[in-house]
Amino acid sequence: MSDPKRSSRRNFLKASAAATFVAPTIVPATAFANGDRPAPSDRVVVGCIGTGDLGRRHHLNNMLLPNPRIEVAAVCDVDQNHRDQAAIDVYNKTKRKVGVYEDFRELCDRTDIDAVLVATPDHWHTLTSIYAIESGKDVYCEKPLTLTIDEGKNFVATARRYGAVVQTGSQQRSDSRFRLACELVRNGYIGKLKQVDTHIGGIGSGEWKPVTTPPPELNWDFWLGPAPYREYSPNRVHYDFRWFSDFSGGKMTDWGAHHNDIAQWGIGADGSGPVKVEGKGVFSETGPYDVAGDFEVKYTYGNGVVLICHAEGENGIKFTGENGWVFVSRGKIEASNPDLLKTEFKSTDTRLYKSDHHHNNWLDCIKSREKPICDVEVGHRSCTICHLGNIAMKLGRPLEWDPVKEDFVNDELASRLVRKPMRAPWQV
Amino acid sequence: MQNATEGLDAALEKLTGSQEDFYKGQLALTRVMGEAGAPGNDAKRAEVARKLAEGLVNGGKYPIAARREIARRLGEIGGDSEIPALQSALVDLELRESARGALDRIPTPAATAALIQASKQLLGDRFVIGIVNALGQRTGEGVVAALSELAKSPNAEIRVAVGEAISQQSDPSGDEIILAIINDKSVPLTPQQAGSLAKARVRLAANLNGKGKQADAKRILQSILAERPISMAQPVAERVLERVRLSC
Repeated sequence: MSDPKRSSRRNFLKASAAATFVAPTIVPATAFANGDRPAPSDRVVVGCIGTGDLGRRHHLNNMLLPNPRIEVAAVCDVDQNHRDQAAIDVYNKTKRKVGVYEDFRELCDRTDIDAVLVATPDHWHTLTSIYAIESGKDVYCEKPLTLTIDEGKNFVATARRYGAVVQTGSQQRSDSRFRLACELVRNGYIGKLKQVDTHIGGIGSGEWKPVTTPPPELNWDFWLGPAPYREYSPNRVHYDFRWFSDFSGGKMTDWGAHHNDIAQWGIGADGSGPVKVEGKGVFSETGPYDVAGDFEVKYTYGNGVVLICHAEGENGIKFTGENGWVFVSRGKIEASNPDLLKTEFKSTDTRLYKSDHHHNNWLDCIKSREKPICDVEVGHRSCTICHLGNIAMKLGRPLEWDPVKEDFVNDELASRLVRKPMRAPWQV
Repeated sequence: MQNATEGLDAALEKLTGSQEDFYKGQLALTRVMGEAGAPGNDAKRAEVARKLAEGLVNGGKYPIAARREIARRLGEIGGDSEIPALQSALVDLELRESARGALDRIPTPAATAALIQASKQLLGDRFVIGIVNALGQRTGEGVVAALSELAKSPNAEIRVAVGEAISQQSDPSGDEIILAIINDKSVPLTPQQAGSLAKARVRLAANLNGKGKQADAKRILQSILAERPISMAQPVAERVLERVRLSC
């Protein structure tokens, strides 16, 4: 698959490099490969949208700046402190100045940027990503991929229609332990799969903080964006936005987008989902957090496998089959029979997509135009599991789900909850 | 039925208090609606929706924050019977965005008709953009015609929103409407607005391709690629054109 835009930039750089043999004294050293650092024509030029804690600390400083295959060209955040600090980080690391933006649209409209990394609050994920795709960019979008199921459907359709490479930030798929667990399950080494239990943690009620004037560095109206208008309160922004349903889906989407994603992988349900969902959620009686703090949600798949997502229990995923079990979490994998973990897979066994580095897998796919390990549809379907759980808990009754139509069966109220209207002027 | 509406009265009363009480009211409303909205509970759902609509139009009884919440909930549980109440809220400057959002969520032709009517009568740039956006999510009689009328707005931002909404319609004639907005020099566009409309043309073509209308998609994309001077939409148009060729 060709990539006209990127080819243009690379062709331009190659043409410039060729010209340097005629006039070598004007060639910048950076036009050539330098040791482990690829030539500019082979680097992916990235813009960072959302440079708060996760965007700046994890992605920018730990993943993007140290990666020789990436050139960071721009940073964007509606909080001036965040974007300025991110620009300083880039300068300190590379001695280059980058574009600094409040408005993601200006960053996306730059033709010299190949791809964007979206690490905004959840209610902005789809909107910024779709704008980026329609501007010709490839996208790495943090999990949870979406705020609603309908957003996910739009996200997938747009990525497909534009041929964009989209990696979802559910990076456990690029961890060998999670892959091993899923390969053991998928190949029947624990017998026929019966049940999957995901344990993702819960939250308390939070504390009320008075409504106040937003700090001068924060463009509050822009931060709210498509969400319903709310007065500013310091516990609604930055990390804590996760516990307000206007902006996110609580632990269910925060950690559920990791562990339920692995459950989907082990079940073999990527591109599909359960047919029934029933959830018991405990909501704070006093607020302010309005997402379920404690919960247990049961999903039933068409093949009879049951997935139970718990707030409580040791963080991780347990697959239970007719003949044994395997438990996996970050840094740990255990099985009912420890020898299972030394399994040498047969040539006839199903082997799963192998990636040992989530960001590099994205870069590889930008070059090859293949789907990354946590492609947009994988991310959308895993996120759908989480949204289904939240809707079931909100309505307090069992629901039937059609994973082909991606709609509830004969439940008008539930069906209306697959999307949320966006505050004007925003729309996808 | 009595229990459901009693719970509703208590929930609505909470919405009139402090922010903590407001939260409790929201939680109670969620519980009432979850039960009343269950399949087979049509009478209960209708009763809850009717009482919410009453609360919306009865301006003296509830403060504005409560009425906004009521409007939002009507978007989840309301039906055609509640549309007149939402229409009446559209003319209240403090309520209209919530009412617009509620109509946006009600998936019936009557809600579409209410949005179309609002697009003809109501003012306020950002509000009208919200109406345009809501119409862009819908199909049905009158949607494209209403958007075409709004394409003549003297406000460039509204025109751009119309172009973007038209691009969602999978109607090949939408390209002519977008082109007319681009080419009408009486309402000048900023470079960013022109760029948005160029992207809207590509999106229309991409959507048409998704609906199996490859010939229309190809025509629009080739027209974009033939434009001079070269626009920022052209590399994206080329990429989408490749997808169209692959799907032929």
